[in-house]
Amino acid sequence: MKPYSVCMIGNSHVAALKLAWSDRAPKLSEGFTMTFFSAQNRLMNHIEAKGRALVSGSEELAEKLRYTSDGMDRIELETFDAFVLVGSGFGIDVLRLREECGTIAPGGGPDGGNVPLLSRACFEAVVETYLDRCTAMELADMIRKVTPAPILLVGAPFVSERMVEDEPFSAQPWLKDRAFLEDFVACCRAAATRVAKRRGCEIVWQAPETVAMPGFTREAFNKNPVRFKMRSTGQPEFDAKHGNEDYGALMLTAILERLDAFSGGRVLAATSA
Amino acid sequence: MTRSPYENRDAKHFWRSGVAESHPLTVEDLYVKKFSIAPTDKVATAGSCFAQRVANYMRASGFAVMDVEPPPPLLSPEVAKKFGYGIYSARYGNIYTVRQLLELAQDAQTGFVDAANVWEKDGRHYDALRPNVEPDGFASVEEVLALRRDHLAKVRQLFAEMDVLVFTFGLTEAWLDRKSGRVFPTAPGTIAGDYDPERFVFKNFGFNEIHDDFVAFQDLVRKDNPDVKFILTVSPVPMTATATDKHVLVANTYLKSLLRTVAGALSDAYDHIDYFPGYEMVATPFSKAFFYENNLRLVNQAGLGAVMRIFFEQHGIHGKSGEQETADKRSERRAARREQQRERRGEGAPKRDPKRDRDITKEEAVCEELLLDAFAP
Repeated sequence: MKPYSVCMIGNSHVAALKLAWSDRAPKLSEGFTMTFFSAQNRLMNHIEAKGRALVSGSEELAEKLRYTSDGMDRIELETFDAFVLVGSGFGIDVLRLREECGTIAPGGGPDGGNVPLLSRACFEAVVETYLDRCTAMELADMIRKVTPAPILLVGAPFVSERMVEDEPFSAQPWLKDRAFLEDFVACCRAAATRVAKRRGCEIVWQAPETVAMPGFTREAFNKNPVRFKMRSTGQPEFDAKHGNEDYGALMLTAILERLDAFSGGRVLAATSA
Repeated sequence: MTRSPYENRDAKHFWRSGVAESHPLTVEDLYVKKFSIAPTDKVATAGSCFAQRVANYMRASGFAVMDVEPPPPLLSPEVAKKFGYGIYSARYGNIYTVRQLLELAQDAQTGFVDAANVWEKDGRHYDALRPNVEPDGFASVEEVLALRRDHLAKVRQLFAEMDVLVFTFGLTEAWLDRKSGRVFPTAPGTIAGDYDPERFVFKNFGFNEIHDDFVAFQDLVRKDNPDVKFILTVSPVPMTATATDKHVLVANTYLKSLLRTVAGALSDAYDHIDYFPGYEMVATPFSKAFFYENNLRLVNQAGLGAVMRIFFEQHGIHGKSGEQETADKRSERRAARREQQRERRGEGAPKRDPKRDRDITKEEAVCEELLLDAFAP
C-alpha cells in the first residue's frame, strides 16, 4: 500500500495532539507519517506562500518550525496527501465571540450590556467574517492554491468550564442558560461550517466527551495541559484555553479516523476481528 | 405708492427670473434656513427611500448623523446594509407615512410589541413594521419580538438625544391592520405575509390625518426632548404603484401635493419645524426631469448633489470628501450637458433603457416599495 503522509500545521494547540501522538497513538498503517509544524499564534501569520511551498517569513518562526518538524522550515505542499490545520484563530471561544461579535435572542439580551443583540442570521454572518479572517483560513487558502488534498480543521478547544465560576463571568446569567448556549454554539458551528466548506475543508469537532455545557470544555481536560513552549520546562497546572494529553488523545483519534476514511484505509492499521 | 404689490420684489419671486431663466445647478435663494445646525448637533434621519441617500450625503459631509444601532464592526458595509444597518439613525428601515413614524414613537415610549405584526414566509418570520431589515427573515416569532424590543429601546434613546430630525415624507397610501389599526410600510404579501382583505385594509391618509399625526409625533418626542428641531422634506421619488383606482400619475401628484402642503403648513406653524425644498428642485418643471434616471422615478446623483448643495450652502457645512465632491460635480456637469444636448436636439424626456433601469435598481437605496414593481403587468 502506498504510504500516506499528513502535514499538521498549527499553533500551541498542536501540543496536546503531539503529546498524544508520541505516547498514545493507535496502531497505524505501515509507512503512515505525520509531520508537525507548529509555533505560537503570533508567529503563525508569518507563514508565506512561495511557489508550491509554505515558507517561514521570519527566522523566529523558522526556528520553531524546524524544532517541531525535526528540521524542516519549508512545507512542500505537494509532498503531503492531507493537511490538518489546528487552532490558529479557528475555534469557538464563546466568551470572546460574544464580546467581539455580539449575542443572540432569546437569552442573550437582558444582561448583554454593551454587547449588541443580533438576529441569528446576522450573528452567523459576523462570526463567519471573524473566522474567515483567521490565520488557519489564510493557511487553507494558501494550500488550496497548490493542492486539492483534503484539509481537516481542528479548532482550539472550547474554554474551560471553570471560567464560568470565576469573575467576571460568574455573575452573568447567560452563562447558566443552557438553551441559550446551545443556540449560540449552534450558530457558531453553522458559521464555521460555511467558512470551511467554502475552502473545501472539513471540521473535526471537539470530542463530545470533553464538552461540559455547550461551548465549554470539561475542567478535567484543562489540567496539566501542554502548549508550545520551546525552551520552557514548566507548564501550568491549569490552562483555561488549552487541552491536556487526554484531550489530545481523543482529538487525535477523531482526526486519524477521519483521515483513514479519506485515504481509503491508509492511516489506521487493520484490526483483526 | 407703488403701482403693484409685486413691484420691487426680488428676482426669486418671479417665475421667469426665478425659474425659467435660472438653472437648477446654480439657483440661489431657493431655501432660507429657519435655524442653524451646528456641526456638533446630533442629527437623526428617517423617512422614505430618498431619505437614505440624504442621510448618506449628510454623513459624508461632516454632519454628526446619529446611529444608535451601528453595524457590528466585523460586517462588511454591503452585508451590514442587507441587514438594515447604517442606513438610518436606527434600524427602522423606510418610514413612508407619518402614521408609521408616530406609531414607532409610541411603541418606543411603551416598548409595545405584538406578535400579530410578525409575518411569515417560507417558514421564516418577518417584522412587518420593518420587513426589510432581515434579508431572509428571522428564525422565530420570539426572535422577531426580542429584536424589536431591543430596537424600540434604541429608538427611544435616539428620539430623546437627537437635536435635529430630518424626516422625508414619502407616501400617503398605506395598508392597515383592520383590527389594530396598525400601519405597515409594505403591503402584505410584498415581502412576507399574505394579503387577506378580511384582515388588511387600504388607507390613503388625508391632510388632517397627516398633519395631526405629525403634531402628535412631535408632541410625544418633545416631552422627553423639548429642544428638538425638525427639518421636513418631501421625497421627489414618485410612488411605484397606487392602490387607488386612479392613474398612478394622478395618484402620485395628489399624494405629493398633500405631503408638500402638510410640510408647508407645519413649517409655517412652528418655529422649530423647517421645510427644505428638495422636492421642488427635482420634481417640478424647473429641472426638466433631468435629475431623474431613465425610469423617471429614481433621482440620479446629480439631482441629489444639486439638492444637497442648496442645503449645505444654508447650513454652512462643507466637510464633504474631495472625492465625493468631485464625483458630484462631474455628475452634475454630465447631467447638465445631457440636458443641453437634448434641448439642442429638441428632444423631450430621455428614452428608457430597460437594462440601465435594472442596473439602477440594483444600486439604489434599499426600498421595499420598489418590490411592488415585481407585481406590475
